[in-house]
Amino acid sequence: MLEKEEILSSFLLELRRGTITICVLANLKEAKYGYSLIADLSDTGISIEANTLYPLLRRLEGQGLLESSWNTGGAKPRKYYITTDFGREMLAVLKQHWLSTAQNMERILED
Amino acid sequence: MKTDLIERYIYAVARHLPSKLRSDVEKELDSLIADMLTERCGDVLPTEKDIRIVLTELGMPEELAAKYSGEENKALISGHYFLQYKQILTIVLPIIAAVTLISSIIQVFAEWGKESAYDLIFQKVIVQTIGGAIGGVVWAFAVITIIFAVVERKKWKVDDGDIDLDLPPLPKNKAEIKKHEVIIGMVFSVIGTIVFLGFTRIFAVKIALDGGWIPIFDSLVIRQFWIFFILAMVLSIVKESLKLIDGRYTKRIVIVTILCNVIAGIGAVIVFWNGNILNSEFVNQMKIVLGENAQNAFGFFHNFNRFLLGMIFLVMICESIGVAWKAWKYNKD
Repeated sequence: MLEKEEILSSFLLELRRGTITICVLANLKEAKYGYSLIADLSDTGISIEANTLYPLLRRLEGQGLLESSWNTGGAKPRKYYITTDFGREMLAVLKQHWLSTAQNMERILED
Repeated sequence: MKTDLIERYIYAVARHLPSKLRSDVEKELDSLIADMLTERCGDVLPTEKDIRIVLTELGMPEELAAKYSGEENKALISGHYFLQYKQILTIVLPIIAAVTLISSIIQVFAEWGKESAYDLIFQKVIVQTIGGAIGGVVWAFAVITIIFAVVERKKWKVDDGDIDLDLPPLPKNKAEIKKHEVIIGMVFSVIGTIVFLGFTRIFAVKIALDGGWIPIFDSLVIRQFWIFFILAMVLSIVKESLKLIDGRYTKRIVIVTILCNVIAGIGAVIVFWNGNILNSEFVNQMKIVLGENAQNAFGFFHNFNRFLLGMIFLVMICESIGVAWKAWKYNKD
């Protein structure tokens, strides 16, 4: 039984790993800090844990898809991330891929 | 809202990260944890239990660090230990390669002259040194990997979801053992061993002003004891590796240091107790200079080997006390 759950969760993990990047890029068209992004995503039904999101943000920044800046104006300093031009460009391409994949998946899963 | 436990957690994550990432990740985690606590408790002051729940949600510090460094799931050794594994490998392997390379060269030189055909010697240089270095590295890599794989397997059985938040406190200022200190320590012991074994004649004195340099030791006798010098070097690498893993002076570093020094001390007695290790010309010259029955302050030169043994003990005792003292000083609260 436990094995079944483990297998399922590893599939779900793989499924989410690809999609979460697109969610993040789409959601960061305006600057947000990590924790507010988690809240926004969860409002749209996408749940992601902080220990996955924060390293992911950093990795996307390293790849040039996001840029960050520290905002020290508030009660506590926060690191804000926003999608770069390159990030938006990649998002547009990824979106096309996603839409066509979704179409294909639908057709496959119909019967 | 920064408690001791939070500080310890953030430090436990950051210490595995490359230094350029560290301070940024520390700040980011600090504000993340604050956000998570606010979300959980609102305006109410979070309790110790709330903090534990939030940190458990973030997961094991080692795993979070592995995620940050982007090196999770890349190896046989999982995120738990991968960074430590990599760190040990990147330090120990180059040193082992250097050791085996240089000691093989020394071995070839030691046998220099016994062979008549020079091309045979040349062949030996190539085969022994390069072959020796590759063999040494492969051997060390295998041993380190096996150790980590065993530790990993054990961990899987013990670990059932709940994470261990019994983290050590932050080392204060100087309590942290820096990586370069460890590397210097290892390189120093390796070079010392090689010089002493391979170039014993470097240790020489000039007794009479017009006389030549007289080697102190009999290099052939010293080389008979090679296993003890290599043993001392290996013990020293073990000590330094543990410092790298713990990153601070801990009780087990004290225990291992004392244990290694006791073993090395026994080896030193075996090597240095016997006056045969001294070059007989050196001993004779000293007798001439000091007089046959110099029982005064210079008498120890007749037993110069035992004087050296005393010095070695002194250094070892100082090191043991120093490590114990640091561990005590930095760990008392």
